[in-house]
Amino acid sequence: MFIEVWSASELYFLLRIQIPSVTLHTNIYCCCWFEKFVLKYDGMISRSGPILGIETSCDETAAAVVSHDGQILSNVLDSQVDVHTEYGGVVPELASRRHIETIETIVSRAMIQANTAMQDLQAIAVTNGPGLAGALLVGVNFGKALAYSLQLPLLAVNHLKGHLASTWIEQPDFPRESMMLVVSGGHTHLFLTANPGQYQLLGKTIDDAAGEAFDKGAKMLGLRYPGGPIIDRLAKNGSTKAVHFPRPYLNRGGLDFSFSGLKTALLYYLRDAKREGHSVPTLEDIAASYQEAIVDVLVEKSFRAVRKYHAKGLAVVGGVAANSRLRERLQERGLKVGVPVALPSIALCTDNAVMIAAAGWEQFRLGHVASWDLDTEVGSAVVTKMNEPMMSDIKPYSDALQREA
Amino acid sequence: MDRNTPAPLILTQSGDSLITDLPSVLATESLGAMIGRQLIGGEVITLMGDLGTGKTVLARGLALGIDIDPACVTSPTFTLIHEYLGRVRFVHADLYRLETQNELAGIGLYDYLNSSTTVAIEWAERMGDEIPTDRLNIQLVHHRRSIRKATLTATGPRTYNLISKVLEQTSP
Repeated sequence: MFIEVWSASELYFLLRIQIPSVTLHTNIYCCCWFEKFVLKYDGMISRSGPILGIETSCDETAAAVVSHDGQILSNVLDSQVDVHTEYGGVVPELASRRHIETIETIVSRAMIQANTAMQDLQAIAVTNGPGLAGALLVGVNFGKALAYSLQLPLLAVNHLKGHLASTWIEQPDFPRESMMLVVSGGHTHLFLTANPGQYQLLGKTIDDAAGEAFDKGAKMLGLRYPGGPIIDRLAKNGSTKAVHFPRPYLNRGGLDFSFSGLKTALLYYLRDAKREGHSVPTLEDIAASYQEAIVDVLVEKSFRAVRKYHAKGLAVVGGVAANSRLRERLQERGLKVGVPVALPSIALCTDNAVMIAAAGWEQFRLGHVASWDLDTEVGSAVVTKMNEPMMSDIKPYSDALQREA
Repeated sequence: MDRNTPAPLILTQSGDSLITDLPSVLATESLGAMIGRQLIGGEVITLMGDLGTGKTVLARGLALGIDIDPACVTSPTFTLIHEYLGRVRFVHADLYRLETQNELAGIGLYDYLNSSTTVAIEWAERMGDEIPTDRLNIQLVHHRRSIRKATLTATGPRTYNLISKVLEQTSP
C-alpha cells in the first residue's frame, strides 16, 4: 500500500496521526523522490468503518455512506430532502450557492440514515472533477475540512471513475475485465478496466454526448425538457424504420463517437418535410427512428470494443443507461454473443454519491490518498489523465481478424 | 479530418459587421481558428444561433487557435462550463440549460470575466442585460442546405481591435 505525501509537514502528520489509527505489521520506510516523500507501509487496516462519499460536481448535492463490504448504508440527494423548508427560503437551482446551503444538511442526513458516527468513518471521498469550478469547490473544501478535523484520510474521486465504480455496487461478482460505456448528458466514453480503480480511456464523443442528442432532438420535435425520457416513451409506439437517419461515426473514428451530425440530420429532415408538405410520419415514428440511430451506434461500438479487447463483460452506466430501448438492445446483443451486460438500477445511473464512496473504496485500497492541498480539477481534459498502464495481457485482435469480423 | 488545409474564407464587410459563408464543418472550425490565433485573453465571444448551426464547432476552432487540442473540446450543454489552458485560459460556456439570469452567478460564469481569460458563450442571449458590453458577437444561421452564414460584430474597443487583426490576417 502506498500513501503519497507532498511535504515534510504532511509526512509528520501522517506519522503522528494517521498511522496510529491503523494497525500495522510495522514495516514503514520512506524515500525522497523528486522532492516528494513517498511513504510506504505494509500492513492490514484494522478499522472497518464505512466511507462517506460527497458529490457536488454539477446540479446535484449528494452524500452517501458505503461500508467496507459494499453495503449502501445511506444515499441522500438534495432533490429528496426538503431543504427549502429547513432554510425557509427559495434556494436557486443550478447554483454553487445551493450546494453551500444544502451540503451540511445532506451530509448529516446521510450520516443519520447510515446510523454512523463521524468518528467511525474510515475515510472521506469527494468528487474533485470534472465539473463546475464553483460547485466542485464546495464539496472539496467541505470534505477536506471534515476529513482534517476528524483526522481521516481524504480521497479525491474523479466523477467518471465514480460512474464506472457504480457497476460493482449492485453486482460485486460482475467480471472485472470489462468494457465500460459511460453515457449521459455530458459524457459518451468507452473505458477498459481490469482492476478496481484503474480504467483506460479507449474512445469518447468528439462533439455532443448521446444524452444531449436525445434532449436536443426532443427540443426540435417540440417536446419538453428533459426530452430523453419523452423520446423513449414516444418511440415505444413508433416504427424504427420510418425515417432513415445517419449512424454517425459507425464505420470510422475508431472507438470515438459523434452525435452532432445526427442532430443536424433531424433538423434538415424536419425542415424539408415541412417545406415539401408530403405526408410526414407521426411524431412517434420520428422519435423511434431517431432513437434507433443513437442506440445503434452505442450498441455497435460498445460490442466492437468488447470483441477487440476480449472483454469478459460490458457495463453501461450514466443517465442514458436508463433508456429502455438501449437496455433492451444491449441485453439482446449480450445474450447473442455470450457477453454479460451490467446495467445499474436507474437510481445509480444518474449522479449520486454512492458511486463516489464506492470509487473511494477502490482508491483507498490502492492507497491513493489525497493531500491537504487537494484542488478541483475542473477541466474535461482530466479524463485523458486516467490512461494508466494496465492490462498488458489483453491484446487487441489483429487487423486481419478485425476485418474478418 | 485534415486540419492543416483550412478552406479559404472570404470575409466581407457590411456596416459594422463581417459576413462569411461557411460551407463545411472545416470552414466553421477554420473561422474559429482564425479568430483564436488573435486572442490575447480578456475577450468575450458570444456564439448565437439555432441548434446545429455550428456553435460548438466554432468554439473548437477558437481552441485550436489558442493552441488547445481541439479533440478535447466537446459540447458543454450539460456540464455548463468547460475550462481549458492553452496560450491563454479559455472558457467555453453554454447557457442552453439556464432558465433565469440569477443562475449565471450560480454557475460561476462571472468569475471568468477577467483580463487573462477568453470566454466563449453559447446561447449568450440568455444573459439578457447581463451580457458584457465589449464582446464579439458571432451569429450563425442556416443559410441554404449545409451552408451556414456567420456574422461577426464587435461591440467595444477590445473586440474592434480583435476583428481588425482578423481582417489583417486574411488580406494578403
